[in-house]
Amino acid sequence: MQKEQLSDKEAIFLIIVFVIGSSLITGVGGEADNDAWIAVVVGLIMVMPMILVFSRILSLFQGKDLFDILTLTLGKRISKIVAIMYIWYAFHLGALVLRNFGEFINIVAMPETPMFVPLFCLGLLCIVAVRLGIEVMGRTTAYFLPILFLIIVIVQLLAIPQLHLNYLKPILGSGLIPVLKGGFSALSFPFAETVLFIGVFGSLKTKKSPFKVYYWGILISALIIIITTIRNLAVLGNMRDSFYFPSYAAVGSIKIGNFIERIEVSVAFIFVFGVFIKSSICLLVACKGIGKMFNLKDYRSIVIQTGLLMIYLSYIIYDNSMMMKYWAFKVYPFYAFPFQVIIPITIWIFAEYKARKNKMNCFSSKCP
Amino acid sequence: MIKRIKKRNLETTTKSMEKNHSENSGLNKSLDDNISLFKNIFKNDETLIIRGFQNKRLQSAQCCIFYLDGMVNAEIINENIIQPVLSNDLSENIESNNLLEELKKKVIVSNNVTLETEVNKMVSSIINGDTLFLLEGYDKALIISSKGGETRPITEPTSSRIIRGPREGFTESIMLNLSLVRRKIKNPEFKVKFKEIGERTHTKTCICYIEGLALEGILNELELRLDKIEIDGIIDSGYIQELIKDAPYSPFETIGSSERPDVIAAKLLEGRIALFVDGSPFVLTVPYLVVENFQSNEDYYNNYIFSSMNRLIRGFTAVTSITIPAIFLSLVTYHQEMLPTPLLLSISSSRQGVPFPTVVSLFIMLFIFDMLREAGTRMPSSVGQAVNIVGTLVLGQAAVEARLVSAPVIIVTALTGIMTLINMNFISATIIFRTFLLIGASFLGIYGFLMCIIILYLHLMSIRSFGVPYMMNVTRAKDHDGQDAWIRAPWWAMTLRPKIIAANDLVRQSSRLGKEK
Repeated sequence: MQKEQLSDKEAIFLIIVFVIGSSLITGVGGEADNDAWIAVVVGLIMVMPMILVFSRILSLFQGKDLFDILTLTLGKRISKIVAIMYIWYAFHLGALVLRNFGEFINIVAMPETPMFVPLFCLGLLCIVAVRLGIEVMGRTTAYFLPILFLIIVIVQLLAIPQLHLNYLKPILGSGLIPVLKGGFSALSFPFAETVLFIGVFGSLKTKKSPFKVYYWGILISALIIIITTIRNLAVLGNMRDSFYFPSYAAVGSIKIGNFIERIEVSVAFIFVFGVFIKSSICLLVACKGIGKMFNLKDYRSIVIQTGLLMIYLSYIIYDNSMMMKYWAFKVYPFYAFPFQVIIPITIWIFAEYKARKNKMNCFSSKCP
Repeated sequence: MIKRIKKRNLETTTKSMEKNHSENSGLNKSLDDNISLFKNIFKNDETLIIRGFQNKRLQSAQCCIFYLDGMVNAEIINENIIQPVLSNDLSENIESNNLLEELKKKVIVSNNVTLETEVNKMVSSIINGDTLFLLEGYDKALIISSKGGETRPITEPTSSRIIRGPREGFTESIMLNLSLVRRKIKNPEFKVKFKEIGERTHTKTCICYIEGLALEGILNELELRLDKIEIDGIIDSGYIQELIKDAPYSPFETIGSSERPDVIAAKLLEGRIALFVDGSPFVLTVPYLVVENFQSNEDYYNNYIFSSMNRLIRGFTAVTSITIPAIFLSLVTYHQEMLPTPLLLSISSSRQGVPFPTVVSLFIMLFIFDMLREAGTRMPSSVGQAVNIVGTLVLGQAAVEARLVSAPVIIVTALTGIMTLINMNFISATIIFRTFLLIGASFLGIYGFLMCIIILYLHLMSIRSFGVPYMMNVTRAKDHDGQDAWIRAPWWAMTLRPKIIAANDLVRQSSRLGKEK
């Protein structure tokens, strides 16, 4: 079987969808109240050095994925432990994202349907996608992203009559601390979650591209998130805290003439597709990691098992939506910090060291 | 296990055949022995005609011809074989001792005569419609080309009609089909490779391509796949189409077929490879992309704006024929708030008193539509009126009036049906995925529908046709990729051939390309 290849464009699109996927459902930077959009900007600035680290790691070990890199840099034993941590992180994150979607369906769309049904359906979809591979997912994303953009732009334009920009004032009313807090939470969710792409971008084509891909992907998705956050703030105002899913509520209030109203279902497309891509990437990384751990030839043989376990974990992970919100905003930033910042920086330092040493030893990039 | 048994059976049959032939391999010098040999081979076949005759002057020139009645052109045999051999003054004209060679050189009037020693080949050439010529005292035979038999004349294909463009269509004869394409591409680079497939039918197939345009890799892959076919008979090109398909379980076709020589010629010029199969008017082309489903040959002959519009309609209806019932279902049953209030009221008032839920009535009506379509294609044309009346009056109007189904369901069904018929290439995929989406929408509303749509696209994106991504050019509008996909760009703009398929030689119009730069 030939190696799967991902073009730069597809990779950028994957990052965009990955980042905006579940963050559009739950909203970002909630701690900063009506400065949430500034928090997103702060988060974007915070993530920039991390992007450098991620892409540097990728370009040092071109064509290798996260788990290969771990073995090459940290040695056999420690790398196994770190690999297990990352497998858990990917697996857990996938389950969290799935659960997000399940809560969304259960609260706004179909309260009477048991939550297991949407979870199971979307989980099956992820299993199918991961079995088909990253290349197919990339091409599918390249097909759907223009449609997603179109929906976002149209909804944004339609929302203009509902905007009350004075809701945004006073800017920095409660000082810098909440904004920084919000920025920190925006860093961990969603921006720095792209650390998982180190596990995927072994399929990228060129050597120069990881930075470009990360940079553009994060930038465009941050732009989308900033715009939608501003929209949500300006439409909902003080009420935004009473909604679990502010985007959905904001779009729901759009009303033009007597014809275009209640178009929130059109946004559902972004939600479904974003969540699907995000949890598929998580599942893919988890499966690749498990495959590497047990020296399997192909990760595809364990996708179904891992996927079903992920569905089940997502089913039992929270008791209710309050718990989800608490976890997402209070606990998750600290829980994810080691995976997103500390370990990548450690890997990067070791990787630089290894690369120097290799260069001194044999002057050839092919040396492991 | 079954495979093994089949293989063994096959081996025994081929062995017995070989044995049969090897018993009588090689001819005798005696004519009578040879005649009885062939009589024996064609024992219960009464179409074998054996005609013995001899030259007027040279008594020693006793000959005999064999042919199968109905497979040959009797005129050729009478005038070009029997007549010259009978009337020629052989005793004077013949110089050397090798009479058979002399006959071949000087007497028999035929464009293709070969000297043959193997009985197997003689038998197969008799079956193919050639005439076998035996001479007393020789253990060799002449095979004289005399193929005949009636073929269908060249007519306009009924599977797809056009208003503008060439009207000729392929027939069942492979040589005629080849000549139709060759008349359009008058170039020695047009290559033709023959191959026999089918252990019993020995069906002639031929691979056609233009050297320098077609990719070697695709050509080799096609030959490899054809070599792997082990089947007793090929009746239509559909057999091969299914046997060498890339995604065997997919309802989407990854191998194209056309009944029109102009279409095949145009595809060859784009670097594709054609496969002719004897006995089938449908010629296959590889690689086949999803956009080719929406391309009609007429697009290229008409004004490009009009063609682009038609093509957009085709693409749009292909998508909607799959999605409309599911969208309708999810809007009516799950997301009523999406509908404007007056429309919602009229839909729900029309649903009053209807016993079935919307999903059931949709399934029933779509199934009935497919039944009507099937009846329409197979029925004799004289009963067409009856089906029309039953379809429109009984199933449409009467069903609504009797409150068996609601009127919107009928409208949706009719719309879907019409849109399905626009894209007949897609019909199997349309029906399967329409049902699939309907089930998804009935479970989870628009969310289930979206998930099924994503699965559909994942599937489409995963298919390849001979290494070329099936959905190529659908998503790209850059450079020259998109100009023959959703729209048909004007001819003066299409300076390059499709990128991946004709990677060897991209330039279609060099002079214009130069001007652009």
